[in-house]
Amino acid sequence: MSGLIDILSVLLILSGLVFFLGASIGVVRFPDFYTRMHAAGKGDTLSTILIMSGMAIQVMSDFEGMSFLVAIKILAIAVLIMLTSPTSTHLLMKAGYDDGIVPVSNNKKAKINDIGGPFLEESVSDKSEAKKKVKK
Amino acid sequence: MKFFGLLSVIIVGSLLLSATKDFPDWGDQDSPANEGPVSSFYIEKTEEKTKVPNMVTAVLADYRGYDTMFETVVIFIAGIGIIAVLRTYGNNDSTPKNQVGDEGAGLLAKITCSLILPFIQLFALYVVAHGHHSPGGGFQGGVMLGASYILLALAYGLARAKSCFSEKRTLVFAAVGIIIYVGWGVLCLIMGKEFLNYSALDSILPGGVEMARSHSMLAVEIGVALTVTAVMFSMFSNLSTKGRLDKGL
Amino acid sequence: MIETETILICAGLGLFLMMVPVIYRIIKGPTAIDRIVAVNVIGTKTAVLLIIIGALFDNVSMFVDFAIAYAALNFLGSLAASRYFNRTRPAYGNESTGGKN
Repeated sequence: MSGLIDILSVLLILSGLVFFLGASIGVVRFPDFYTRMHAAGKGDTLSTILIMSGMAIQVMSDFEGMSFLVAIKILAIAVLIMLTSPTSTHLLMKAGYDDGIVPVSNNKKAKINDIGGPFLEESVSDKSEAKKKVKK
Repeated sequence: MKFFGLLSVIIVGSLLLSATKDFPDWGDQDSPANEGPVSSFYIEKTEEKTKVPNMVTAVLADYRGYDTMFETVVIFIAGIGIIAVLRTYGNNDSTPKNQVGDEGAGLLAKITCSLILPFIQLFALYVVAHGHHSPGGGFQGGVMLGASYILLALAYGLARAKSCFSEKRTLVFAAVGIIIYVGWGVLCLIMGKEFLNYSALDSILPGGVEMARSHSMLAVEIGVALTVTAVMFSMFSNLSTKGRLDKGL
Repeated sequence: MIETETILICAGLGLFLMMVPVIYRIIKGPTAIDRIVAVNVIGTKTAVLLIIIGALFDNVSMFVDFAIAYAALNFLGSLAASRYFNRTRPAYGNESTGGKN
C-alpha cells in the first residue's frame, strides 16, 4: 500500500519537473514576449500544481492527524497558485500589450497600433503616434 | 560607471567570502555564541519558564522586550516620517498625463483578489496568534495583514482600500499598537515588578506565572502587528500617490 | 527501491538547475516585463522548493507557512508591477527612459 503511494507521488513530482523543464526552455528560447509569457504562465502553473500534489501525498503517507493538516495546507498553496498565477500572467500580458511590445511577425517595422492597438488609448507612449491619430 | 560598480562588488564580495572560513562550524561546541551563560540559559530554561515551544518568540517578546519595543517605535517613526515628508494637502496638478484614474486593475484581478483576500487575512491573523508554536509573530503577521490591504488597493483602487482603512484610522492603529505594548509594560509596573516583567501579571491572568508570561507575549505581539500593518499601508499609499492619496498607481 | 530522501534531493536539485535558464532571462530580457515574468516564475518555484526543503528536514509543518506567505506576496509583487508598467512607463520606444531596457 505505501509502495503504491510512494510511486504515485514520485510520478507526480517527476511529471511536474518535466513540465517545468518545458517552461524554462520556453522562457529562454521563444522569440518574443508573448510566446515567452505563454510558456512561463502555463508550464509554471501546471508543474507547481503537480509537484505540490506529489508532495502532499508524500507528506500524507504516514497517515497521522497532523500530517493530514499539513497536506491540506500544501494543497491550499496549490489552489492559491492555481488562482493567482494565471491572473498575474494575464495582467502582465495586458500591461505589455498596452505598453506597445510588438509581437514577432514578418513585417519588421510594424508597431503595436498596426496590429490592433493597445486596449488603453491613453497609454500610447509614442507621442508622435498619438498626434498622427488625431490628424487622421 | 557600471564597471566600477561591478569591480567594487567583486572586491568586497571576495573579501567577505574569504572571511567566512573563520566562522565556527555548524553545531560547533566552542563557538563564541556558546561561551557565555546566556544562550545556554535560553535553550535550557525557556520552555519551562515561559511554556513557549518557539524559543525565538520567547527571546524576542519576553527576554528582550525592550529591544522589540523600540524596534516597534522605530517602525512607527518611519511611518510618521514618510507621512511628514510626502503627504501634500491641496491639489498641485502634477498627475502625469498618461496616468489613468483609479479604477482598479480590471475584472479578472478583482475577482481573484476577492477570492484570496479573506484567506490571506485569516492566514495573517494565524501567523500573529500562532507565533508561540510556529515561526511567526507580530512583525511577520503585520506584514501579511498590511500586504492584504495593499492587494485590495491595487486591485480595487485606493479609494476602496481607504474606505476600509482610512488615513486617520491608519494613524490611530499605529499609535494604538505602541500604546498596547508600552501599556502592558506599565501594567507590570503597577502590579509591583519591573517594566515589562510579565511574571507580575500572574494574579490577573489565568494559569500561573508561566502562562502569564505566555499570554503577555501574545498581547505584545498583537500591538506590534497593529503598528506594522498600519505603517505598511500608510507607506504604500503615500509612496504610490506622491502623498496626494487620491489616485492609486 | 530508491529512498524517498534521494528522490526529494534530486527533485530539489532539478528545480534549482532549471531555474538557471530563467535567471538568464532576468539578466538578458529585452523588456522590463520579461524580467518580471521570469521573477514571477522563480518566485512560484521557490514556494515549491521550500516545501521540498521542509520535507528533507522532516519539518514540513514549519516550512509550509513560509511557502503560503511567499506565494501570496509573489502575487502581490506581480500585480503591483503590472499596475505600475501599465500606467506610467513605456516598455520601449521612448529612448529617454533607458536605452536597452
